[in-house]
Amino acid sequence: MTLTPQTQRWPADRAILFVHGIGNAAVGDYRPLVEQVQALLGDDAKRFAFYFLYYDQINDWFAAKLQAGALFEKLIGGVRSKFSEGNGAGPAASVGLGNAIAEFAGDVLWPVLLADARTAIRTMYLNQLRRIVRDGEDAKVPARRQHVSIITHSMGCFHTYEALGEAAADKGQGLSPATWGVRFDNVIYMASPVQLIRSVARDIQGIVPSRETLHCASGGALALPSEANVSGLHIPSARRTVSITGNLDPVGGHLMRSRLPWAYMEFPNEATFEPYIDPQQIATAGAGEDVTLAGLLQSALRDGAAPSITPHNPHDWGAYIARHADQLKSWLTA
Amino acid sequence: MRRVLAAAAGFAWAATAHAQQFTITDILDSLQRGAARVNFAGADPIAAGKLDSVAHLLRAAGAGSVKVSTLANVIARRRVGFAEANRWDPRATDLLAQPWFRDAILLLPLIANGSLQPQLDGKVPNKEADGILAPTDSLRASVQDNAMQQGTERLRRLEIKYGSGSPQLNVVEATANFVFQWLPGLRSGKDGSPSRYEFLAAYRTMEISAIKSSRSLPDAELVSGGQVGLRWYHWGAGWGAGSARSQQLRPRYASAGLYVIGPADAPFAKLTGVRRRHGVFLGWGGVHVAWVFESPQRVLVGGDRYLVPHLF
Repeated sequence: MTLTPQTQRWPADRAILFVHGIGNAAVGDYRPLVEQVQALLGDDAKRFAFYFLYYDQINDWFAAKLQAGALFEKLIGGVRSKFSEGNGAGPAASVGLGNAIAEFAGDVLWPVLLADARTAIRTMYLNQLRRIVRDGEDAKVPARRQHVSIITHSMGCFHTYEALGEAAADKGQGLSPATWGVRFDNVIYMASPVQLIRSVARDIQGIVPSRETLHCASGGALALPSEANVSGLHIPSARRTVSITGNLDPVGGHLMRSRLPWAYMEFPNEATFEPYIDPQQIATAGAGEDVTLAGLLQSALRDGAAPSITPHNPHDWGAYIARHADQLKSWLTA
Repeated sequence: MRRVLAAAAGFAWAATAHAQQFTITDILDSLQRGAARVNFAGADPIAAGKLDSVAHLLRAAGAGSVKVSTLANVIARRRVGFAEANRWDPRATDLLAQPWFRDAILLLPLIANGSLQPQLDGKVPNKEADGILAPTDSLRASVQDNAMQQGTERLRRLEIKYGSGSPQLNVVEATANFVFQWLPGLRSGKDGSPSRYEFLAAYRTMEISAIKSSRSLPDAELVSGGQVGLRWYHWGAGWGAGSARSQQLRPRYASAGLYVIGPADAPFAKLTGVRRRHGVFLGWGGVHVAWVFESPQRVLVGGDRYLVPHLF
């Protein structure tokens, strides 16, 4: 069994769970990101237990079972060969691109179209949350006084939303906010595709199995995972839910600085929800200025050389964390 | 005595909350003690009224001595053992199986954590609040333990069916198994456990065919064959694990179904045509044995490995 939840001794009453997004992450791959958060926390970092949910192994099961890597390789092989004609790229490049596309598509497709894939990642996630709560209790911190935050990126937002939705809906999980008092200080979504997946899943609902278990697609509108107490008061799983995206990040519901309502995740009228949309640049020149013709000319004249242009990945997790370092510290240490 | 137990638990909360076998009476007593401590009826009359109602209901049903481990099984909808139930009341099995009973016991932590705990917060010292909530904390821990066990078992089964070393699916199988997600009996369980069945439809390029001959040894040749049937996975511990030899003896899956060979006895031959021949097969792990009962009758042996992805 290789899906054992991470467990550790808490140094104090706080923990952070990181949940990564699209890709093929292996244990340890996101250590630099954890170090980035440790750096922004400063001395406070010593009070936290850091957890990381690596779930790509499950996506890999389904990709291998359905021979998806080879399928995508076949589908795009012809197109790829056209692009690679004359530029020296060989079959290896085609295989690599095919596998990359299979991973990307698979990460999104498996949980939506295969009920077992959805269950597998969600079960792994819920086991990890239970383990975190129990680790806290082992450190003599009752669940109601634990300060647990979740920082998640890209597809990790979808898995987080689904796991919290299941935790709130199924009391048998032992994690619901009203019945069991398990609440998270912060759930911080970065570049969340939850609304995008909801829109697509509802458009293709006829081919989504066990649709009732896909929390993001249920209900009249996307809602914060919550549970009502006996008086009917809804208690959210998170005391604070933050959504951060960039105005150039398509996964977060923006296309060339335009918001796409069908793809942008928001929870209007929820007091515990805080949305942030970062202004982003495709590239910067010289010392971080926007790329403009005037700026490039000034840079070239100033330096006496060709201007340097640095392209930016609008979906980069580390960049989101860097831009909100002060807020993160404030939220996590509150 | 029970009040003393609950109060004591509050002072050594982490060490005892999960080990202590609290009962429904302990939960009710501690919640009513907490309610009295913060004037719950004045602060949240709806929740306080429900606490009184459910306490009356459970006590009247004689359920006071049911332990949290049993309650956790009821919440997880696990069948409660005869001995476990009869230990407190001969009517227990009936009572525990009734839907209202599960709803009633779930009201207790909902009142405790969703309504009473916010009232206790800041009004009574943490240690006292921990003592009041210790029985319901113990119930949560038992529910989490159950859920963890069930989750781990579910993941183990999913790994058997989908993990490394499980049979790959071709296009036809992938499509059929996608549709199976809607079919009762073949789709995943309500609790999310995978179905142990999987549709199998394969073209086998080279099967070893043996036909009885006039000589002492049967005539053997390579032919191609087709399978349509079901694969089922062994969930038992130890199946599909261990050394290569033990995996052959106790593989992660078996299969059975219909078998067909084409008009020509040759490898890589087509299976369609009026003179195709039919039979049945049984598979044990990656090896299958088929019997074609149309003349000439023959036995075939083959493997499950695909030579060309998606096809055969």
